[in-house]
Amino acid sequence: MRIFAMLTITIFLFAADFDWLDSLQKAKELAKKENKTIMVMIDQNGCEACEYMDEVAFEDQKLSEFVENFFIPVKIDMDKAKILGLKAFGTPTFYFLDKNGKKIGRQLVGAATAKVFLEKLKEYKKMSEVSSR
Amino acid sequence: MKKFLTIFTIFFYSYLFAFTPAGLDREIIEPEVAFKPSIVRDKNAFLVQIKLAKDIYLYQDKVKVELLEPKKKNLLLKLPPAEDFHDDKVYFNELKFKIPFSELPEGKIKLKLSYQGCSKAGLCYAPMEKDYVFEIKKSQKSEIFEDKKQESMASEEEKIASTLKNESLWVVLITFFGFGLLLALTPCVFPMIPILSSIIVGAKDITVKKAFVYSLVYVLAMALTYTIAGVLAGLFGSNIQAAFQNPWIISIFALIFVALAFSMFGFYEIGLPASLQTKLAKKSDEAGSKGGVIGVAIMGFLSALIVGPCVAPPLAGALIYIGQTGDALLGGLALFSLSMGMGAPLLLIGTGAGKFMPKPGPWMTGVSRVFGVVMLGVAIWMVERILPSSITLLLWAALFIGSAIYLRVFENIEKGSHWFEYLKKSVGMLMFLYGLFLFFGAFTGANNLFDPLKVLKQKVSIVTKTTKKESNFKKIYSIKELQEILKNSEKPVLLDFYADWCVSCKELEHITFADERVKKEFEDFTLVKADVTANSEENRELLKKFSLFGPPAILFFKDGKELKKYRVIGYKEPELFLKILKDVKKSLAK
Repeated sequence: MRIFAMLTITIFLFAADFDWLDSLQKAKELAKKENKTIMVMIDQNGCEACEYMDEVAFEDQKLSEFVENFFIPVKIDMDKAKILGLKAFGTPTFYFLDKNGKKIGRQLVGAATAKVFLEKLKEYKKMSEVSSR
Repeated sequence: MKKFLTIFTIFFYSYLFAFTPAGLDREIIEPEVAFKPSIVRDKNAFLVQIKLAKDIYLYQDKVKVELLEPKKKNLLLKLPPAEDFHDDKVYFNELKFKIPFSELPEGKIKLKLSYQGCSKAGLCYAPMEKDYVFEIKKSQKSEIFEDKKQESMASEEEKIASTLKNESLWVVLITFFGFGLLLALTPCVFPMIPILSSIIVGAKDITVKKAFVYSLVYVLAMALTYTIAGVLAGLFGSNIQAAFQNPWIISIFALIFVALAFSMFGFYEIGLPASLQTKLAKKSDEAGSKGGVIGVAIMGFLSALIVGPCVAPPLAGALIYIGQTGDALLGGLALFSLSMGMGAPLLLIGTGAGKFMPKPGPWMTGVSRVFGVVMLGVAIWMVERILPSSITLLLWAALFIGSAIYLRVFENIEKGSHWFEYLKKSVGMLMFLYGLFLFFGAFTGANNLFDPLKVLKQKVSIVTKTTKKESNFKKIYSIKELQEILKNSEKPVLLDFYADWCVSCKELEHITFADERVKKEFEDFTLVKADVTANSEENRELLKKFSLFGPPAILFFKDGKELKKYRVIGYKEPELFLKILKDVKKSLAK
C-alpha cells in the first residue's frame, strides 16, 4: 500500500505540469501578464504524431518544466487555426507568437523527441528575447 | 506502452532529419509530394490509386469516395487488406482499388476522393480531397450488364429491380421490351389474341391499314393500362389488379364475353347506336377507321385489367422499383415498354388477321363463329377463378361437345363433298371426344383442363399417395400467424403466397407442387401458405411486408430471416423449382 502511494506521488511529480489553454485570446492575456511566449500547437483528431507529443514528449520532465517556465501553451484544432491565420498542412505544427500575437521565427512542422524539441524551444526562447528587446 | 516505444524508436530515427539546422521541415515533405492520388478509367471500373512517398502512410478508415453528382452518395469501397501500424490499419507505398461502373449511375458523374495520412517523420497531414469528373457511357454499362447476367441467382425480381436501378434508360426500356416479348409467350396474353382478332374480323370493310390501326390502338390501350395501374400500384403499394379479381367484376366480364360470343354467332350485332355511328362516320370521313377506335381502346383497356392478371417477375420487379424509389416516371416507362413488348406479337397477329382475311364472304361467318366459341372459352377461363373446378370442367365439356354438334359431327357427309367437310367432321369428332373426357373428368375430381383423366392414371400410385399427406401446407392469413410459425420452426420455412383467383398459383399447385420429386424435397421444409384470396386488410399487410404485389410468390425463411436471394415470383416448372429448393438447402448446409 505504501509502495503504491509512493508510486502515485512520484508519477504525480513527474507528470507534465503545464495545462494547455484552448483559446488564443486567453493565451495572449496570460502572455502579457506573465511576459512569456505563446506556443501554439495545432492538432487534429486521430493524429498519431500529436498523440506522441502529448503522451510521450511532453511527459518528459525537463521539457515540460521548460514549457511551463517560459511558454504559454495553447492547443488549437487545425480548422480553427486556419481561421486565425495559422496555416498548417499537417499536424502537429507549432507556432510561436509574442504577447501581441506576432509570429516568432518559422513554424515547427512535425513531432519530435523531447530532447530535440527542447533544443528547439531554447532557440525560440532566444529569438523571442531578441525580438522583445 | 509498447506502442509508444515503437513510436519512440521511429522518432529517434526521424530526429536525424526532422529538425536539421538547414531548415525545420526539410524532410517533412509537402502533402502534394507525399500523396499522389489518381482515378483512371479501366475496362469496366475506375481504378483509384494513391501513391505514397517514402515513410508516408495512409489510414484505411479515412479513405473515402463520395459521389457528388448526379446524386450525393457515399460509395461502399472494397479496399485491399491493410497493415497494422500502431493499432491502426494503414497503407504504405500505395493504395489501389477499383470502383466498378455498375455501382455508379450513368452519364456525367463527379467523384470526390478523400483520404488522410501521416508521415513516419512525425507529422499527420490534414485530410485531403480531390474531385474527379467522368462520363460513363451506355456502351460501357452494357458491357457490365453482360457480366452481371453471368452472376447467378439473385432472385429474378431483384435482378429486374436492380436492372432498373443501375442501367441507363435505353437499356432499361429495351430490357423490358424483351421481358414483354417473353411474357407474350406465356398464357397471360393468350386470351387477348381471340379478343383482338374478333374485333378485327368483326369490323366492317377491314383493310390491312385499318387492322393495323385497330391492333395498335388495342395494344396501346393495354400498355397504357398496365403503365397507369403499375405506377399507381407502385405509388400506393396496393394490388390494383387484385381488386379487379372481385367475383362480381369477373362475372360481369364473363357475361360480356358471352354476349360478344353470341354476337359472333350472329344472334345480334353489337355496335354503337346508329345515330352515334353516323356522327362518328361523318367526323372521320377520310380516316374511315376511326369509328371503332374508341371501342377498341376500351377493349384493350379492359382486357389488360381482366385478362392479364399474371404477376410475372418483370411486372413485380418494375413495381418494386417504383415502390422503393418513388421514381414513377422511369418505372412507368419501363412498364410501358414491357407492355408494348407484350403487345408486339398481338400487333402482328392483329394486322395479319386483317391481311389474310381480306375479302368478306360467307366464310367469314364461319370464322366469326370460331371466334365466338373461343370467346366462350375465355368466359369460362375467367370464371375458373371463382368457380370450383368440377363446374368449370363441365362448362368446358359443354363447350366442346356443343361445338362438335355444331360442326355436324353426327350428320352424314354427302358423297363428293369438299375435303373441307371431312376435315371439319374430323375436328368436330376430336372435340366431341375431348368433351366427353372432360365430362368424365368433371365427375371424377379432375381439376386440370389438360389432364381430365388424372384419376385413371393415379390408380397405380394411389396406395403410396394416401400414406403421404396430400396437402401439408399450413394456411395463414396474417403477419402474426406467420411470425408464430417462423419462431417455432426448426426447418427452413417455405411461404407460398396463394389466392383462389390466381391462375399461376393453381398451376404451381397442380403441376409443380404435385411433382413427386418436389414433394420429396418439401419434407425438409415447413410449408406455409399465405392465402390472400380475400384481399383483406391483413392480407394486404402481409403482401406489403414483403414488398409483394400479388401472388404467386414463394419465399424462404431460415431462423426468421428471409433468404431473399431465392425468392420466387410467378410460375416455375418443376425442374426449375426443384433446382431452387436444392440451392436453398445447399446454402443452408454451409
